[in-house]
Amino acid sequence: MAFRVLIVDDSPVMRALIRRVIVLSGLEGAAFLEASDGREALDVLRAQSVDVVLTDINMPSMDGEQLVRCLHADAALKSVPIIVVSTDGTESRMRQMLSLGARGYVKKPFMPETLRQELERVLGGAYAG
Amino acid sequence: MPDSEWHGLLAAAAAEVLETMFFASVYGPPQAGADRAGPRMAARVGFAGTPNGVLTLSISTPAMRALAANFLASDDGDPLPVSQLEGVICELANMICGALLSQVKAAELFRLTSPELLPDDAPCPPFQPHISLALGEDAGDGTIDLWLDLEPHAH
Amino acid sequence: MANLIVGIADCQVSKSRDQVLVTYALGSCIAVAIHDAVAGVGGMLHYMLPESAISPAKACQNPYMFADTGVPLLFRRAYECGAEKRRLVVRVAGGAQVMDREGVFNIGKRNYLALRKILWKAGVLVQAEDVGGNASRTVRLEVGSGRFWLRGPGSEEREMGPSGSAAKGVNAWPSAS
Repeated sequence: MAFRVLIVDDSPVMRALIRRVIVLSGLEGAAFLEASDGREALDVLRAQSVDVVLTDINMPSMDGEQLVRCLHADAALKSVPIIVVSTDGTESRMRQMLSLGARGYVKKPFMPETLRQELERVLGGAYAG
Repeated sequence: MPDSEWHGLLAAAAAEVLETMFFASVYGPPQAGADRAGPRMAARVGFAGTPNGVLTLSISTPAMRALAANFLASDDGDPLPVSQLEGVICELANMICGALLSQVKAAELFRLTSPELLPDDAPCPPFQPHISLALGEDAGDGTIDLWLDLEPHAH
Repeated sequence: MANLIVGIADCQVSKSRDQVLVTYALGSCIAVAIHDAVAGVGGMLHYMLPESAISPAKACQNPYMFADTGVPLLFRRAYECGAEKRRLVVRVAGGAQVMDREGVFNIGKRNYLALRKILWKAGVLVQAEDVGGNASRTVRLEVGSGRFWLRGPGSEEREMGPSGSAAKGVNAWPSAS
């Protein structure tokens, strides 16, 4: 079964860029799902299994912080690895998101190699690249 | 923090974003008398926290096309749909604002509003931009102007 | 092992397992080294300037002088020897801020940005890099093993692996403003 990636960001162009980086990182066979905010992401996650979530923080309707809290509080979803990809590069935000359950953090702007390295680090043996 | 320090950080944030994700060489202020005619695109993003404010960005349209092609890894010969161009300028404003606030210690746990494209006939702030940067030939030799409006009580 | 020198504005591609591609004194210039362990192909480009548009005549004479003409040619030559893009390990070194002949301080950074754009558009990620700073670098690529070594002035040679973080030079390029 294909590796399933959920990208959560209210910017379609940023979702496209992240998708490209993930493909170039070796996950060319991955299946991609997308959501433009936390609420849509939860709908996706409750409907189908996902192997990794990459999420922005600042999004309308439900932001990334709320999404991570919801996932961590859900017994069925708390094991899904989450990598935050956000313009907020402050220490306090990174500490907060990791303490809420995110396993990785990439600050925008980023080099594609930085996102690849974080994927490798978070996914470890499950990484196909 | 004095305005001059904010503006210095803003220039550094813009350069970081433009170089890292748009592969654009960024120079200092455009030369006096540089041609500023021609179409431009503009976007703005609001932020709340400590402080509150608005960042507005204006850039020559040919430069924005070049930057968007770099960001999206599209071939130089293929024109991008307008929707993608607009999406990229919004993301550019979003990232510059985030990169700026991430440098400012007092701006911890800030929030950004969704960036919005400004229509062609919407005036940018009437005064001179706080920061103007010349872009290299790899970005169409364009210019980018930035305005940073902070709420008075937040200074 | 026999050294095969890559000069300034030069490119070498080899399938000889006993060869080592070497280029010296990378100041603002950049070396791009690629290696396909399966095909046993190694290549190295040493280019000087970012864009050929500033001198198309020179680019015709020597495409390896510029990033936008040299880099695609490096990859094409490697493919002709049996390399495949998805298997290529790419390392980058150079782009220091040194005074060049035109007195343009930021040519090193411009060289680096030009390369980054070309690789991103071509769908190639870099496995390791050592760029920026003020010091010149000497690098070598062992065609047989794919190992890549870097030395700065007065420092010990060290290996740059295919994995691990992409390391930038110690000193950042100066900012635009």
